[in-house]
Amino acid sequence: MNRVFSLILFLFILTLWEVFCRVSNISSIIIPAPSAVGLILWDGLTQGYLWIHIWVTTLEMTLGLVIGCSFGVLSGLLLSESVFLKKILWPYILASQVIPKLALGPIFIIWFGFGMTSTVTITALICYFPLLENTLTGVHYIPREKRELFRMLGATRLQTLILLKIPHGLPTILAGVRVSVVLALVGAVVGEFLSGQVGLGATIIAAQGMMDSALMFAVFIIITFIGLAFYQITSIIERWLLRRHNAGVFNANF
Amino acid sequence: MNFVSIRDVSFAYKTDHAVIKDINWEIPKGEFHSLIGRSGCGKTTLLKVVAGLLTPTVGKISISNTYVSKPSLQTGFVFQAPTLLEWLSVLDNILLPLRINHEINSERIELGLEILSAVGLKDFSRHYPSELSGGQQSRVAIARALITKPVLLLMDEPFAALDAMTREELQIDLLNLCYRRGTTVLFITHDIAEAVYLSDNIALMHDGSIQKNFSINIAKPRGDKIRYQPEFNALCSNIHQTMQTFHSQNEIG
Repeated sequence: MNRVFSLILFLFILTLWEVFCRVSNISSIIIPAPSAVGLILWDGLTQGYLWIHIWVTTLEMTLGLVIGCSFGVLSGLLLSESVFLKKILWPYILASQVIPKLALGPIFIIWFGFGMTSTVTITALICYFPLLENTLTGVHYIPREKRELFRMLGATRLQTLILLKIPHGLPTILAGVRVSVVLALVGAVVGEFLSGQVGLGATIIAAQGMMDSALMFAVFIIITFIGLAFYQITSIIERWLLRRHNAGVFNANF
Repeated sequence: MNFVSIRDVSFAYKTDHAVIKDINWEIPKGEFHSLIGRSGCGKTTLLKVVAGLLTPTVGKISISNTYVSKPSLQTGFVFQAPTLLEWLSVLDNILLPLRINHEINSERIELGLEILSAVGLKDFSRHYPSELSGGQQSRVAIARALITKPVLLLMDEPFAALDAMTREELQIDLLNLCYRRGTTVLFITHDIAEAVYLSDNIALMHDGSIQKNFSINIAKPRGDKIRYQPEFNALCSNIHQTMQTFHSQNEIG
C-alpha cells in the first residue's frame, strides 16, 4: 500500500512540474519539462547513443568498487592482525583519506592520462576507506568469551581470523560495502567530470556546454537508476551472505 | 597427587593486588566440585587459571599429572553465556572443536549427533542458535564442550541466565551426563541449592581465598526429589549461614 502512495506522490510531483513549466513559460535551459526530459531519454536509449556512456560509467564504477573494496578489506584485516603495522601506517592512511579524492584528480590525469584509469583510481580511493574502517571495526569488537573459546580450542591466529573474526565482522563489513556503492557512483561520475571523454559524467559536462538541461536531467535519471540497481544488487548479495547470521532472527527487508 | 591438583595458586592482574590467593584444592577423578561465592570474589579468575587461559602468578596446577601451562583440549570450558557462533548450525557449533583441530570425519559427525541426542536436541542439528531457546543454547554449549571427550569440564555459571524450571532440568541432565561418562567437573555458581544438588564437594570462596569446604554426602544418581528433603535444605542453610558469617566479618573488618 505504501508503494502505491509513493507512486501517487511521484505522479503528482511530475504533473505539478509539467504544469508549472507549461504555464510559467520558464526557459527549458533553467527547468526542462518532464515530457522533454522523457523524450530525450527515450531517444537516447532507443537510438543507442546513451548506452556507451552507461556502459563506461557502470564499468568504471564496478572496477573502482571491486578494487577499492578488496584493498579496503585486505588492509583492514592486515591492520587488525598487526598492532605494529597499525601504529606505523594508520596516521598515513588517515592523512591520505582526509584529502578530498577529487582534489587528486588533476594529478591522476597527469599520471594516468584522460580516461578510464584516472576515474577508476579516484573511485577506488573513495571506496577504500569505508571498507578499511568497517573491516577494522567489524573484526575488532569480538566478545571476549568468543575469543577465549577459540583459545581454549587451540585455534591458530589464521583459524581465529577465518572462523571467528571475519564471519563475526561480516555484517559490519557489508554495511561498508553498501556505503561504498553509493560513493562509487559519485566517484565515477565526478571523476568523469575531470578526466572523462566518455561516460555519464562526461555527458553531463557536454550537455552543459550545449546548454541542454533536458539531457542533463535525463542523465540524472539514468544515474539514479544505476545507483538504485547497484544498491539493490548489493542488498541481495548481503542478504545471501548473511543468510546464516539472520536465520530465525528476521527477514531482512531493505 | 589427585586428578586435578591446585597447589598454592595466586593470581594478580596488577602486581600489587592478588585476585586469588593461596588456593589449594584437590579434585579426585570423576568427582563434581563446585565453587561458590559472591560476585567479584575471584571464582571466574580461578577457573580461567585452571583452564590455562591465565597463568598463575604463583603456584602450579596439574591435570592428570600434567602441569597446566596453556589451554588444552583435555579440558572443556562452558562459559556463562552459551557463546555459540550464530552463523553456524547447531551441529557445526558442536563440531567446531574438531574442525579447528582437523579431526572431522564421518565417525566424529556421528559422535556429534550422539551427543546432541544425549542433551535432548536430536531434532535440532540443522537449526541455528537464534532459533533456539536459552536453555537449548546452553545444552548446545555443553555438547560442544563434551565433543572432545575432555577429562575435566570447567563450567562458569552456565545456567545463571535461565529460569528456575529450565535450570533444574539442565542440572539433572548435566549430572546424569557427567555421571555416565565419569567426567570430572569444576563448576562455578552463586546458587547454593544448585551447588548442593550437583556436587560431591563445595568450596566456599571469599575475597580471593577458599575459606571452607563442604562435603556433600548425598547418594548418586540424584533424583529431582532430593531438593525437597530436610537433609538437602539443612546443607543449603548451613552453607548460606557460613557465607553470611564471612560477609559480616568482612564488613566489620
